[in-house]
Amino acid sequence: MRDDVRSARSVEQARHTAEGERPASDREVPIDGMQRDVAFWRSFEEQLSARRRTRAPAGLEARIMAAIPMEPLG
Amino acid sequence: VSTSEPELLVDQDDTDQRIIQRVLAGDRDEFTVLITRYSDPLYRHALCMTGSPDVAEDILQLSFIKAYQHLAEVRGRFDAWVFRIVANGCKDWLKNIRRSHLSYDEDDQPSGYATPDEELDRTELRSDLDVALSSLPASLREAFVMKHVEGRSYEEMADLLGTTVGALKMRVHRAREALQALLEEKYA
Repeated sequence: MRDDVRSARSVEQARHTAEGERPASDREVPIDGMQRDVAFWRSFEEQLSARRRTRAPAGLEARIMAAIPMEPLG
Repeated sequence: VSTSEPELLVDQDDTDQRIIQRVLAGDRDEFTVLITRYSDPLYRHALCMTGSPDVAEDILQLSFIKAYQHLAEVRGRFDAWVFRIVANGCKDWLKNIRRSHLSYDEDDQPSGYATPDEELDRTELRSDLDVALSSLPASLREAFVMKHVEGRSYEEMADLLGTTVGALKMRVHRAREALQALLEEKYA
């Protein structure tokens, strides 16, 4: 019985030691945390994708030309 | 064969260099072709860097005016040259808006807003993307946007920004880490 307890303790101790030595990035991430990560990056990627298709506002070209001096460069 | 398609106004085969020669020879209106050709990617860059459509439009307008006035100085590719003007305009704007807040703090005068980002939030409803990008330092934001929005290669980015591929890979990596940290903070 005492051996069983000692054995269980040593297993638990070994687990804690190994956990403590592993870098934070290697530790297990809770499932809900992973789902949040996935949801965030998916939403972020969708917004990036929309931004890649964004076009300059209509009429910008005309507004820029109106602001450029009328005198030709030549 | 008749077609209902509108006639193409921009001849894609007409090189930038030929257009520049015509503008320099006195044909001011030809400059419109260059604006049409590059305003979309340049606007996207300015929008990602500033998070504000109004500011992005102002930066584009000032950049194209500057480009027109200094057109005779173009050496090499026009698109790379005008990109640098816009990119510098964005970085100057970010510096100025931060400096204006620092000066308020130094003078102990109430600015009305706690941070430049809050100032933007007050005037415009910003997307999560813009809020996240605004949390990054300008150099990381610039590298992340050029890589993940504009889809440029590291070699092209290095050429445009005058830095090394290694430095840019590090900036993009740090930007991703910062965005991940932001996520963890948001959901902690």
